[in-house]
This record gives sequence, C-alpha cells and structure tokens, in this order.
Amino acid sequence: MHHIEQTLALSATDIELRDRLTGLSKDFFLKQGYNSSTMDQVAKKARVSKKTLYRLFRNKEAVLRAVIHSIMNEIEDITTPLFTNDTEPFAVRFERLVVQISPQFANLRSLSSMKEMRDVSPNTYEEFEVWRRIRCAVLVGMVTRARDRGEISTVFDLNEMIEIYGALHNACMDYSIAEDQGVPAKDVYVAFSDVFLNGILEQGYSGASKQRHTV
Amino acid sequence: MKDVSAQEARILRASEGLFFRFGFQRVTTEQIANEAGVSKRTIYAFFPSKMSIVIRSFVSAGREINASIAAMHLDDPAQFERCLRSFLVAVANGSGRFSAPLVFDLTTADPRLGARLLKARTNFLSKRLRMILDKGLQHGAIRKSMNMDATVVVTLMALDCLLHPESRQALKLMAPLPETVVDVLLRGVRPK
Repeated sequence: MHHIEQTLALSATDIELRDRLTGLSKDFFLKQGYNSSTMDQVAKKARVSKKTLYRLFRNKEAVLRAVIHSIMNEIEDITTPLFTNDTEPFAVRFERLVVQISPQFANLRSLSSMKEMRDVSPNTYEEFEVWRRIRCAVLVGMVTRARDRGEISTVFDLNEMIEIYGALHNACMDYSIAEDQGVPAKDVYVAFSDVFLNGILEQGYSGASKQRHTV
Repeated sequence: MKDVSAQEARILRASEGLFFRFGFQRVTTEQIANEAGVSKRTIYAFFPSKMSIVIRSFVSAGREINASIAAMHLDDPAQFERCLRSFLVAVANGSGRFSAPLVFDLTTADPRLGARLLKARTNFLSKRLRMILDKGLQHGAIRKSMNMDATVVVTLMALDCLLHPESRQALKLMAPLPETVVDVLLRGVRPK
C-alpha cells in the first residue's frame, strides 16, 4: 500500500529488482549507517547502473523509505497472526512475539537511529510513528482480551502494565547494553518475556510475603 | 571538620542538580558556586576538576547502594523478598542522578573515561544484583529455570528505563510507581 504510485508504473521484473535493491540498501544502512551509505555502493553491489537505481528510487531518501517499509512489513507479518489468533494461550504468543520481533526492532533502532531518520526524512519518521502507535493499539487489544479471559493478572493497572512492557521492550532492543554485559541479545529477549510473564521469584517459597502491592 | 564535609556535600548536591538538567559540558564552576552558595575557590579546594565531581557523584551513589546492602539480612530466607525490593528501589533512586544529557556529555567530553565510568556503574550494580539473586537461589526464593545473566541485564534495564525521572516524564501515561515495576519484575503478569 505504501508505494502504490511507484509500483503501478513498474513491471514485475522492476518490482523484483526494487525489492532486491531495498534489501541490499538495508544491509548497508545497518552496517555503516544511513549517512555513510551511498547510492554508488548500492548500485555497485547490485551490479546495476546508477541510472537503473535512480529510475526505481527518486533519491536516497526514497531508498530509506523503502527500507523502513520493508521492515514494517516484516514486523506486521510476524505480529498480525500473533496479535489476532486468540485461540492460542497468551503466554505462548507473547513469548514468541518477543523473541521473533526483537531482532526486527533492533534493526529499526540501529537504522536510526530514529533521530537520524527524523532529520533525514521527517515524513518517513512521521509515518513510522503513526504506524507504531497503531501496532501498539493492536497489542493493547490482545492484552486486554487476554486479561478478560483471565490469562493476565488483574492486580496491575492495564495502562501501567503496557507502559512497563513498552519501556522494557524498548530497552531490550538496545543491543549495546546486552553486548556490554557479554549476554547474547536473544537471551535478553527470552529473559525479558520470562521475567515479565512469570516474575523472578519462585512462587510460594517459604519467605514470600503474602501481601502484594495493590494499585 | 563537620562544617567542611557539609560544604563538600552541598557542592556535590548542587553539581548533581545542574549536571542532571544541563549535562556536563554546559555547566560552569561559577554556576556550581552560585548554586551551592560557596566561592569558586572552595570548590577547587575539594574538587580539582569538574570531572572529579562527577566521579565523586558516581562513587557516592555506589556507597549508598553498598550501605543499603550492608543493612540487609540476606541470610534470612524470610527477609529475602524485602531485601531484593529495597535493593531495586535503591538502585532506581540512585540512578536518578544521571540524566541522558549528562551521560551523553560524559561520553563525548572524555570518551574513554566516560565509557569507563558508565561501564563501571553497570558492572558494580550487576555484580551486586547477581550476588543477591544467588542468595535467593540458595533460599529457593528465585526460580531456578531462569537465565541469571540475562535476568540481571533485564532487571537493571527495567530500573533505568522505567524509574529514571526522565523516562517517567517522557511516558505519556502516568508513570508506574516503583512498587508496581518491582511487583511486575518479582511476580510477573501471569495470574498465579
């Protein structure tokens, strides 16, 4: 849906080529950052002329848009089935969500960094923000339904819980912290969903205080 | 003597407030002197450089954590949960001194020292949290199936990103209370 005006004019081969160029550009952006990546590099790597590259993308910003869109699509492909398939237990879907989605988000993060994206292409940034808010609303829907079904504790205020989830997820996406500690990023994601769902404490250990903070 | 250390503490507190708001580089010794109500000379008597104030601030935050651990009865299984809670809240309160502008400035002003300071802080906190969690494992208070290294990382990140005054301000909804965050970390959101 994002690039209807462009794709209408393109042949099937062009669309294929455009996708391939987008993928290559993504690798460059992730590896060396948006600013230090050049159209020359992309063209050379793809073995196409710069003329072809510019026929498919108006400019470098258009490449960035295409890369962001492709990441958004990948995230949607993963999350939509998890968000909407209420027949599976919440905990199972949640664990899968965190593990599968985090590397994608990590990509978005390092592309950025978001700040760079905001400077380079305010429109793309704005679009991404709107998209993020919509996806978040879908997630809230999933959590709300799970809570109604008794799969999530009602001790916590729903909004607070979502805040905690969101902030934690943001933090866990940040590879650098995990790497500094010598812990593989994937372990951090798994631990995140484990702690969030089950908590650190063993339930019912002898010294557990019966009292719980209520909101 | 008592007067002298009070002066030092005042300088430290004033600097921490300014660093938090404006970062490291933009704050001048003059501002610190004004804020603390002492002369610039007095500041230099205690601290040879601005960086030394920051270092002292990190060190004193660490001392407070150490003091809170020393006051715990970690060997008593019945008190374990209370110990863990108080540690987490102490970390959250202590990290409130270091704002994003300060952290950013430190790593640009003196990249090596800045990175070393931040890394030292993370290591310091990780080691202590790990020690407490290991005690909990011995008491059977901590779930054995957890990846301890990763749990330490996640827990410290949760405190930094959820309980830091800045992130609390940035959150659009009402910021969660420290107790709520700690509750989620300790119990999880699944009904028991």
